[in-house]
Amino acid sequence: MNRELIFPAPRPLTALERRILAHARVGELAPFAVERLVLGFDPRFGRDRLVAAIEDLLTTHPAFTARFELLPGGEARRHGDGATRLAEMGQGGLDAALARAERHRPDPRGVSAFAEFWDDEAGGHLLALTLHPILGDDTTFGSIEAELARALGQPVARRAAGAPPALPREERAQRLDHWREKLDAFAIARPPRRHDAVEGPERRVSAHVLPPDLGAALDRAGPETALAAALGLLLARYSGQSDLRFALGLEREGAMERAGTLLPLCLALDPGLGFGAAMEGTAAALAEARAHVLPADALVQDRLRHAGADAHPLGAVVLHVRPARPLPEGIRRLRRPAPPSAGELVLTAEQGEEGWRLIGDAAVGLFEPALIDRFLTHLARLLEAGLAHPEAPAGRIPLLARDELDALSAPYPDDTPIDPRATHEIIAARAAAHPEKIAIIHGATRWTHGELDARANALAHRLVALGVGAETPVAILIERGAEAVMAILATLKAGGAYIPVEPDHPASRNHHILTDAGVKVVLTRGRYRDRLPERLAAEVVRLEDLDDAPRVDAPAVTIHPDQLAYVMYTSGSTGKPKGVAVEHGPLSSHNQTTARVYEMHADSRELPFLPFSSDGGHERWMVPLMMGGSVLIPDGPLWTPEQTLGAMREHGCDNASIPTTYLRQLAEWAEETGSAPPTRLYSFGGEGLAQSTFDLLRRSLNARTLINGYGPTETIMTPMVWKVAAGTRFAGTYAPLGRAVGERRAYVLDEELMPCPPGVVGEIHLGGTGVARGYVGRPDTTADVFIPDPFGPELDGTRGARLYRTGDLGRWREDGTIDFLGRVDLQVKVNGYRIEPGEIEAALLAEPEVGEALVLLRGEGEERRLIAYVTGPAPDAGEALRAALEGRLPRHMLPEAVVVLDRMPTNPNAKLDRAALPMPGARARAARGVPPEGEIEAGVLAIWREVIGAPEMGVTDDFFAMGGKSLPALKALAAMRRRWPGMALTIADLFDAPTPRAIAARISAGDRTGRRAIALRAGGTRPRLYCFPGLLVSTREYLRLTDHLGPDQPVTGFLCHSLNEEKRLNVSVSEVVAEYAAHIRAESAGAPCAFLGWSWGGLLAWEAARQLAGEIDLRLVGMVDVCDLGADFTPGATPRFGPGERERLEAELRDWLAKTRMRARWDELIAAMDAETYAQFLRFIGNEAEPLPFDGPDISSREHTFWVLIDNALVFRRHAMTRLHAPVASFGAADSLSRGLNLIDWRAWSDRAGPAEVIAGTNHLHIIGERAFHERFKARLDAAFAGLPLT
Amino acid sequence: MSRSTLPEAEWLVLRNHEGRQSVAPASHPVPAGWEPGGFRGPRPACLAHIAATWTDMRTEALKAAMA
Repeated sequence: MNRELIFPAPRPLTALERRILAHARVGELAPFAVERLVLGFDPRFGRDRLVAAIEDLLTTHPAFTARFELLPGGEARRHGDGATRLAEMGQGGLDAALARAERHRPDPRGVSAFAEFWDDEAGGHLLALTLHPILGDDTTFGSIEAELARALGQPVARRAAGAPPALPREERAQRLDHWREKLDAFAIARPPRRHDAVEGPERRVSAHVLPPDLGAALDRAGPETALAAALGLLLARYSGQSDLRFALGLEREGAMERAGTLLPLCLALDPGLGFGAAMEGTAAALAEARAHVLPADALVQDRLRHAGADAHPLGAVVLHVRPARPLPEGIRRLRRPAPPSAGELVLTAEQGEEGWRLIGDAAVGLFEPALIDRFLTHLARLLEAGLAHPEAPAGRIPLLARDELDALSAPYPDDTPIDPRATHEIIAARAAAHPEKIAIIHGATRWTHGELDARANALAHRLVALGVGAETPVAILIERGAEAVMAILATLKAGGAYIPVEPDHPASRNHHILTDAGVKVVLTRGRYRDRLPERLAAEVVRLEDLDDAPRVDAPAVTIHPDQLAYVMYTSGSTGKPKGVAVEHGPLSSHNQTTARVYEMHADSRELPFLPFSSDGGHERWMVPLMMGGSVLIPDGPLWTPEQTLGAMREHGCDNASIPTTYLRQLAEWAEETGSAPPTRLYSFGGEGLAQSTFDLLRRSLNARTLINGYGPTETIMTPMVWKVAAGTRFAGTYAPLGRAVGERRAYVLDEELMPCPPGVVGEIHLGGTGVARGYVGRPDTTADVFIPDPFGPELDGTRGARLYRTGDLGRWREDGTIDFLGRVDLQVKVNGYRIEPGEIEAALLAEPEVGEALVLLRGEGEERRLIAYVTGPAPDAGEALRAALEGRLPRHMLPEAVVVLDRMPTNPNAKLDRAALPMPGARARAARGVPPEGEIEAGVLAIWREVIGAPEMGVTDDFFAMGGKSLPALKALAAMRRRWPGMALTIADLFDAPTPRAIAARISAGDRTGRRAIALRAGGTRPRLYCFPGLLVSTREYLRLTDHLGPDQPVTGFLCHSLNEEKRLNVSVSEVVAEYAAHIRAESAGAPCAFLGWSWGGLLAWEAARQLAGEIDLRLVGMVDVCDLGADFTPGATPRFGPGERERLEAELRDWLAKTRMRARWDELIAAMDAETYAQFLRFIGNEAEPLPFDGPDISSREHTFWVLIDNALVFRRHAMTRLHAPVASFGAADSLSRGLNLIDWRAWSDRAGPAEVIAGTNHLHIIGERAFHERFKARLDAAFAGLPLT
Repeated sequence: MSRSTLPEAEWLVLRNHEGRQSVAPASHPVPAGWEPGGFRGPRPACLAHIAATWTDMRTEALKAAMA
């Protein structure tokens, strides 16, 4: 055995060991886990020889000889004089060995390693090793295997060992700078999360075995580079990001070495280049990362200094590549530990006996299991294709197999053959069969099918006489109603193409339509005459001039399927309306399949509410008439909900088609009045339908079936629908768009025109025969958006088909229906992150009072900003909503303003009118700047402006909204006291009356609040929560939590003692808490309540619980990152000094005391120290990197803060904690554990405490504002209050 | 977006059996039923070519039926 492997002397813990010990102390190991290795030996190794070799290993390998000595203040030392005994278990196989190993709970404070020896049935043996993670990991097991192999006389090849050399400080700083720059430039990539994602502790592991030939290709190419390149390319396709990063485990070998470190791998890969090029880029990035290796913790801690940092600063996805680790013949590795779950998705590529395997360890709360399984499959596909054809563009490697694409893109199943006749021919055939049946009800008009057909025939003959034939455009300038329908049918019968023109629409728009399409005939009424352009080269036919007798025969006109049926002008957001030309074949086919999806029949009666200027409005009369049914056409555009529901009941409508924007009003009315008639079907569409609206429809509209229709005019009416039984719920922000209808397919494609995997955002494309001819007179615009269909030939054998690019973002759901996510042109990129406004809308819609939400990028160039519009809440709720978003969204997704509207503006087509949305004024947060009145207001304002650094502040602006924090508040208070020496105000007044005007009023009145408590939320039905302040922070820090806990949760915050200027020296914890306790006693004696303490506040909360024991019904004490005194000031922690160091430090202290302006206060403080504390104080000064500060005594000066810190240490040194029978929920910030802070294990102080919950991606300062913490604390509070009566 | 699908990369004008025209990146395979329409260049140039040459948007079959 190599003797240098054994520690000759005790040593302090490494940073990683400190971190793991901190985790062990608070009872939550994750992301670390107990490490287990099971080796199987065949009979060739004699039992005695094997046992002797193992026992030698156990007495020499440092993993088995470690012993941890715990020191005061949370410190520890590692000794090498421990022992691990080999337990001989007798007969047993792998199952028995594993079962026993999994029962072990190794503990660095007790037994931290276990070794068991089993005799299997075949005469061989098993060795099961269990290690606490503080002792090592899989790499350590590698060294253990190697030692064992050597002891058995069969050494295995090992790569070079050795610890990395220590970095000089300067080099370290340079590397940190390098990474800062990198991490700012490369965004974190992750697979798409589920819509309700919350990262919890639950994990799911899945595996994908690579076929042997792929494994061999991987070995040839270099596994690490090839896997990292493939993962980078795959993440680019899953996230839509180009410059991205994920974390890579850099493995290292060596006897004592653990696995190396995690480092971000920053990649910028061009999907147009080949896999070979991607591998070259990845290899370069890897080399660069290796050249700048830093401990992962140092990088993570650096990133977490900023509030709102990503919870996984190095990368949300982590890749570990573990090539085969050879074992001597006759030894098999039966179990091997996985890397830590230190990422949202930890991918391990491992080479074992069966070849290469991909293992995915994913956070269940974040990702759909199916998505992760597919991710592994796609990684393998990408690798396989990339390695086979390294020159082919990597972005064109298909991720979906043909059958997957077939299933996802498939339309609603429909085997019924298509009737080759045109729409109007089928309607005419119904009229011939049943002329007496009602076709149209409109006001007082009631036309049978026979009447409608005969009138249309008469007009059709007239049109033919006027020269209307194939491809002749005929404008229908008639209001929605029976006669408009008749005029349209007449146009079709004549062979012409109709163009609907709404008389009420703006003249400029209508004139453009009438001239753009080359209209030959205008069918209108006399009263609309003045709405026509002056020099229109078209025949104008007025309905009232028609005196031709109705007739049963239509003109003898043959309709070609490619012939034009109608031209529909779209209301584009920019430029002039474009005419979409639709041919007869696809139109009739669409109507027929739609009739079947909607289950229409000869007795259907529909209320079509959609306007005739949208193509959906025409589908909704054509389809019922084609089935021989009827329509009730509203006789005005503005029926009230009451009229609509009344008419449906009166006329026995069994289905209705309603614009989404109107549907909500209708449903609200129906809910209020309970007046919805029983209805078979509601169909709707036009805008994204929010979950809340959909739920309202389910509840209030008495319908069996709901259909959400979607479709750009270019793909004919409603090419996609989502049809569900009422009662269906959906997961997501907007109701799904569903799947394609008829001879179409719907695809979600990326920028390379490759199908996106389910869950991945791309652009919705619609293909098949059911698309328009194009834009009238615009072949280039047509070619721009109707593109050659690469999939139809493959899936349906349709050669030469076209795909329409919708410009809408979507993603496939697991069932192949598509989710709508907003417009492509609204998608924005900020710092490399792709932002879907739909995600921000989702966050807004999650707020209970928000009914509708819309997020837009408004303005031009540099002035572009994200603006959110909502309906539902009170008009002044915008700023509060924005604040709520801060907790839900990463900073780059926060809209600049949230504007509350009464209702969303709509255009004449009942579609959302984006142009009519108001631009927000100056930010609500901005100062109102009201000038001061009188000397006191002027004085207060001047002080506040300077303290906050907000020269624009006015007397009605809020101190905290303007950026003021607790310390500046104290500064302002001190300055005001200097100005008005007799002033009685305290910090509480500033929290209570936070505007210059309100404070000035108190100053002039001589008032003061004099309270120690601030009601963060005064009322609510639940028991009250009391929040105890940390050191130098106060109640404001609890505001976000208060928001999250909701309007029913009353919350009181106590003011920080250290922020109180009347602070006396050496006050005791119990004195400080006595005032808080008196307040609680007065308010909650005998009643249930809960406490929350953050940082030092946890110790205060505990003392309050002690003082109030038996007087209040304390349901929960939340402890947030509560640390005990560190080794610096723990009683009994004797500091060590180098030779002469103590004298040098004392001299330094004397020099400094001679100069500081806080001399008197320091003298007082030092006089209160005993010998041990004084020595600790000197040691503390010696440990500080910075020289002692001189900038006191002002509050928030470094010196003042330093004084408060030392004073506080003295206070808590004297404080003795008590064991209590109080329920505790404790939370720790992952960063605090990674720094080895001395977090209190509350299980030591209460029999009703459990292990701490560790909140990833946050630190001691930011945890209190973290959404992840808020959610977990709320869950614990809910459980603690469960069953209590509400007040 | 890769370099080969940027508008300034090389694109092809394509034409199908019905006489409809469109554009596709030159680096992509030509979908079945489409064939090169005799023009290549940056995307805007391809679209300008289509604007100038595809003046009758009726299908070949409809033209024949109406002739």
